Amino acid sequence: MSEHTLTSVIEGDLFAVLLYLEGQRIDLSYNGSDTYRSTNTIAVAGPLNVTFVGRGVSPAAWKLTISKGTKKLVEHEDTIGPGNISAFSTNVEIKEDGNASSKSASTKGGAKKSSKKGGS
Amino acid sequence: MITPLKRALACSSLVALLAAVTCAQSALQDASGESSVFIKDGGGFARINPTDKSIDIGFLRDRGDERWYFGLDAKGKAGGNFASLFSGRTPAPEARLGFTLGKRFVAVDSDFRTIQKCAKTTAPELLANPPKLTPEGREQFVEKLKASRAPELLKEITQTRRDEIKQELLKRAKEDGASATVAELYAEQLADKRVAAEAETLAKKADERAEEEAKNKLAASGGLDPNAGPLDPAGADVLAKALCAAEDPNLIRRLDPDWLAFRFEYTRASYKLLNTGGAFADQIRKQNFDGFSATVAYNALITLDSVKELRKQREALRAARRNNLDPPELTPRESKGSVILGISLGVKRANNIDDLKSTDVEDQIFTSSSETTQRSAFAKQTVLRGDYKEYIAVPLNTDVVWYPGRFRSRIAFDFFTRSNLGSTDRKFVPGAGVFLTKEGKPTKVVGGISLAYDDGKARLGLVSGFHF
Repeated sequence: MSEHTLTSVIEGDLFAVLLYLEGQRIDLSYNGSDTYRSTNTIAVAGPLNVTFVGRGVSPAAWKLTISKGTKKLVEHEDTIGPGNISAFSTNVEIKEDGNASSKSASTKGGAKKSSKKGGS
Repeated sequence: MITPLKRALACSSLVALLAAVTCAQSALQDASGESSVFIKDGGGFARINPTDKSIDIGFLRDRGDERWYFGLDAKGKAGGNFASLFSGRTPAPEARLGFTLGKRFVAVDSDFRTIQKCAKTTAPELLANPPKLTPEGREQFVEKLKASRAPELLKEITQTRRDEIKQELLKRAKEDGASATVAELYAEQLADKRVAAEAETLAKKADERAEEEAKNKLAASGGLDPNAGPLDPAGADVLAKALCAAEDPNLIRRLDPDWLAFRFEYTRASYKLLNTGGAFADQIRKQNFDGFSATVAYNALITLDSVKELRKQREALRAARRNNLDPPELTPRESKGSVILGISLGVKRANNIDDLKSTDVEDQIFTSSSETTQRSAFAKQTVLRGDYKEYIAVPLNTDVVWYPGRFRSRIAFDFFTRSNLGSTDRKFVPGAGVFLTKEGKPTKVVGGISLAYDDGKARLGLVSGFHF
């Protein structure tokens, strides 16, 4: 298990946001201009799981960025779907050099698939 | 009072000191700049508004979820020119302190709570029956392994085949009476050529063997992802939350989210009033005003999409996953639209300052004359003229903001009422407005028009928004 300091940024005209990194709810703070942000140290065994649920008036646009230092591990843009909800999940392998490879899935209004992750 | 147009112009002239820009609690306002829709406003901000001659600073602690959020803000407004904000020569005649408290997910379960509940039942399920690869997943696994293993196997197969060919050629050359050296040279040269001729067959063989290896590996893992490793309780919890976010039908609700906001304000203001009928010394008097207001607002976002259908889609996803099948293909569709409901009730100590007229008064404070010149000096001040009153107002505002899906939420229709239940200036003002919103930002208004029926007259309001 290794620890990583990760910065999460969610941008968008959203009414509610919920972000999990490796199953832990992230305490975000709002900057007053459609951006939520947080920096956390997360213990990761295997790939890092990122799960996001956002709510707003469909089709509000949103963008999720997870970075380690200056390296972007996850950069995903989408819009709020039918039902005024959008869900996104990805597993990202954090390499020693900070680079990443990911496998992701997103849902709009309760659609589509999810990604799977094995335990440690 | 700041008109919406003035407010919008003010927003457009914000200086570079801005830390954040949100010009109004809601851009979906009527001609008086009022609304019952309280969309989050704040964060750490500091703004200077040269048109309104004011400084506004504040802080909002908002995590974007079901936990209470709160904010503090303060505003100072100059009475003279804008420079007086900094020079201190003219004390600001209006100062406002505000406190906001709010909570999302009031009548509905929060997303966090819904996912927690779902994960609580899903995680043990995953531990008992670890998720197997779907047909698509199996195919992907085999293809991936084939791609990585086949070149290695091809190398091995090619070398083995070359050795076989060479041995055969050596044997034949020796049978034909060639010397060992000649036979070796002959076999070496010809073996490469023959192997090259068989390249396609050998590559196919390597692919087949790689595929067989991958399938054997899959069979040995019992259909589980051989790369995933065993699932422990922590891993199951992480996976369960990711699956619940995508599959739980309980996350699809007609009304979601809703939020409650409380707003308290204290205003200290100072005005100069002109009383033309008074004695000279009393004609201009200073009037202090201590105003307060307390407002509670309830807002809700409602989807016009078929909740039943969206829930079914999620159930189908869950069923497919439980049966180790590929997720069903869903046709992407547009939302049918949304509605924001808003109702707010407040009580405030108000005055009729907006009804008073602004007048410039000049006092001649010095005169002197020579044979050819007469010199005068004037002291000029701006005062308010009219009958000043203070009263308790009880504003009740309602809004129904409709975003038709066919316009992709670029257009919003607002049907509103503005009432005062207080004994003074009691009124009921119904109205409607239409707003153009920014693409991808349905609550950010680019421009709009509203029409209200106020005291027997139609009142037209224009709203213009600038977003940076």
